[in-house]
Amino acid sequence: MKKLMEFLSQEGVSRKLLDRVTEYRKTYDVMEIPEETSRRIPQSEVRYYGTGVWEKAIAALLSGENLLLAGPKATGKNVLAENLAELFGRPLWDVSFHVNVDASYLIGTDTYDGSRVTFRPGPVYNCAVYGGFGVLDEINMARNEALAVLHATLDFRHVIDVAGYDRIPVSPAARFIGTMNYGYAGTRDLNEALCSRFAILDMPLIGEGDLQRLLKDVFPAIKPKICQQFVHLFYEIERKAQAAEISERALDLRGLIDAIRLVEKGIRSGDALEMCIVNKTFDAYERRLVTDVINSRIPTDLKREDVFEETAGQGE
Amino acid sequence: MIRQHYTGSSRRAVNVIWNAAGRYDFDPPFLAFFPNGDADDYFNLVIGLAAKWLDLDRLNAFFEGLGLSNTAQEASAVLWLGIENCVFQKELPDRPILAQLRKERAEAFYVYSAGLSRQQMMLQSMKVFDQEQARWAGVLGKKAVLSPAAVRLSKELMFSGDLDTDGVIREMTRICEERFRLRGGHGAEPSYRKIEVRGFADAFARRFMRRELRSTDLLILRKGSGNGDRKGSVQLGHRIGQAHTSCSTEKDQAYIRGCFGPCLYSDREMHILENALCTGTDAACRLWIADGSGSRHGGAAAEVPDTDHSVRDTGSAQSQEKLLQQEQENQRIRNVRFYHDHIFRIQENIRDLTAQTDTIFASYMHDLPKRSRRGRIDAEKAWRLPVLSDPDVFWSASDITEFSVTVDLLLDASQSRMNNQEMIASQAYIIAKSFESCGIPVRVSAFRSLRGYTVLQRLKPYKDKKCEGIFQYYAGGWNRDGLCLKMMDYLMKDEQDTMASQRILLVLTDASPNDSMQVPPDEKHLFAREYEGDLAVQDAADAVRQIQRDGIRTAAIFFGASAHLDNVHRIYGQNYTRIRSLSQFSDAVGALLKRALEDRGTA
Repeated sequence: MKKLMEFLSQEGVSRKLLDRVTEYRKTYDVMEIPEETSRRIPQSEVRYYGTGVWEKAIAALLSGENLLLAGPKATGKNVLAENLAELFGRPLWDVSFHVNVDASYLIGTDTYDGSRVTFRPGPVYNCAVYGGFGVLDEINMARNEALAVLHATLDFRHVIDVAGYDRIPVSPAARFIGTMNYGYAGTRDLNEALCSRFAILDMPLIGEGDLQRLLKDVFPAIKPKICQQFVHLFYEIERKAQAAEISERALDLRGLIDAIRLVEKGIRSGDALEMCIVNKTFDAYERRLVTDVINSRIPTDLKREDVFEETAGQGE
Repeated sequence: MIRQHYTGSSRRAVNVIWNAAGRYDFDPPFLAFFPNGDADDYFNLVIGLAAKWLDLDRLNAFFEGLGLSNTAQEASAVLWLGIENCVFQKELPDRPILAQLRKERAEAFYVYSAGLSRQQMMLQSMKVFDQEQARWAGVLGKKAVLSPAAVRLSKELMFSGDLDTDGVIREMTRICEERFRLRGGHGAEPSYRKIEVRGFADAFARRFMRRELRSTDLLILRKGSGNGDRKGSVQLGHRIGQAHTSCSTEKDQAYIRGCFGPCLYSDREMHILENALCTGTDAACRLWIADGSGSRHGGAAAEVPDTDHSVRDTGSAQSQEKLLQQEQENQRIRNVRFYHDHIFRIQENIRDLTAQTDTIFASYMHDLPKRSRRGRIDAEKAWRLPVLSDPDVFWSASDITEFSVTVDLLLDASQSRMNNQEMIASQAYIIAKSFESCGIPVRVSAFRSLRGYTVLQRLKPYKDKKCEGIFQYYAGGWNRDGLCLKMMDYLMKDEQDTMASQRILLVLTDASPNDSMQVPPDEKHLFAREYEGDLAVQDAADAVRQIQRDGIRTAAIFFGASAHLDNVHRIYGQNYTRIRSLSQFSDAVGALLKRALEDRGTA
């Protein structure tokens, strides 16, 4: 937490907001939560870069709002959600949405514990009870009618009515963070009722400077010049996807980081980029276009020593 | 903004250019290719960088101003070496790989040169060849044997990276005047020409850095033999007082058999069908159902009804049938060619529609409950828990779903679609392929009316996963939409016992029903009436209502003239979507499908 606070201070996030986060934590850190639940508080290594977005997200959560992070691929929605849970010191439940999500998947279901029928809580229920952060990942993949069960949880009522059981109040520490990508195949528009229960944050694509710092953060030994080329490569693929010449499959920040990591492990740059970026698309022609972009930026035969500075230990 | 549509290697080349330029909002006036037709990646990169660092429009104006003489082509090829050096120097700090790419291009030049025969060498433009050699030898650190004049020119072509567009044009103008005796490179015609270089040099220069002329129009329009109305549609007209022109029932049937092949149903079955359907408005009509998937090669071809604009029988029946087969084959080739020319757009549409269809159908799938140890408790079985210690007294969702669906795609194959045949075949292919990819059985049929027969051709059956039979589609004849829709309704109801729980009928139409077979007199009308206009539209609308009452969800994809928009609305109500181009196709069909499925109450 301290590390993250320091990071945000360095990033220039408003001191006032960070102080209010500290107050929030003082209020809710005293809540008793089981040992296994406290292990859900994230300790992420990857940071979200973007001061403006950080400030808006923190302000919304401090005001008791639920947050909907909307944006295209590779905008860091999940990284931000996880970072926010870490900053606020709350256990995190990740709920991946799909077309068959229903109330029992979210709230809980009956089960038999060997002697009697009991209620097995779902992630939303746990969030409500333990004041956790629920990440409703790809929320627009689910059918709107399946999400109606969340309405009372997300709005001013702050309750979960578990059919056949209790009506439980949602902890004041709990927040729900939805993520959605309106460009993905298979997604649908959220209905108005659900949208109105979120503060919606339009996630921008990571800025060039931020991406460079992110890569530097993850790979401290990366050579600045080659780092710059990877950054350019990412934006060139992004522009191509924006122009609809290729799909968004190859626009994969995780893939780029993974590729650099493979180079660090000793794989040649061409092979690493092929595995982590080019092959993300299954259309042969599209692959050719992505390969053309890569070939005009990154030599195929870069080795570890070409990409990374020798560390002090290695140098000696 | 109207954009060119690139195909194959052109599209790849233009992508390299856009990528290097960092923007995608322009159509490059140049594309670079090797003499063997492969895209020259390095020089396409250079063109892109020229767009990034210089004013490409002004460079283009300059080259256009040089004219089309062989000398001008030589000068163009040589001058691009100058631009190459300029943008190379500008871009290198930002793109270090450029040095390596330049070396690879230099090596490719030597590989290419080594492969030239003596004759090919003699046909080279030596001026261009020398300058290329000078450039690439320098890049590779080799020594090139050149005349002093060529050495001077090669030095002059090392345009500095500090030059802006004005500077580059100034340098190019000077070289044109001094080395090529070409003047007026700023948009004016050259004042005089030097020796004409013919043959390979010209071809080489053109190929090396040619202006891109290859582009494919989105719509291929061909003049039909009917009266073309707006937007490429073709409208057939009735001659006043013209009656059905068939000579006799036997002769008509023989003709229909000759055109479309044997009927898939027995005489007895067709008798039952005709007795049920050919009543009232359609009392004088006959029905025919044939295989049009190409398994019987040579079904009907672009048959044209007997109107002012029709092609009348001129030869024997046999030679006419042969001609029709040839016409049909030609259209199939055109359909396939259109598909290949637009393969990327079509494949993109298939991908999009598959994803959308998958999502839409998944939304309507209902998981069959299965017995489980957790889930929703089954009150009736709850006693088993304490008494028998049976924990499986819950219902939970299983992977098995009960929603099954089949789709029938009906293509209007009347002559009014003549100018859009390739487009319609591709649209049908996109739909069929997408649904098949989602595991939804699709049947594709085309319909038209001819000599009083309403003919339904099966282009793709449910069982066949291959969709290539759809390319057998061609347009010709009239369209009695009402009767055809009634026939589809009857046949689909007939198959109901063995079919899916949900059935969808999608009609690709221009919503202008029109037939040469008149509507016979009845108690309200003393004279026979033409099957056209309001009467035909109402007949089709009644048929659609009946189909919907029978539980078959019906929707139309309208691809026709604005004048018929009112018709499509009257026939299909809200269940239609209008398509203007392939680019909007998948989204429109996805939305239509969703609407059709959501419209459960009315179905």
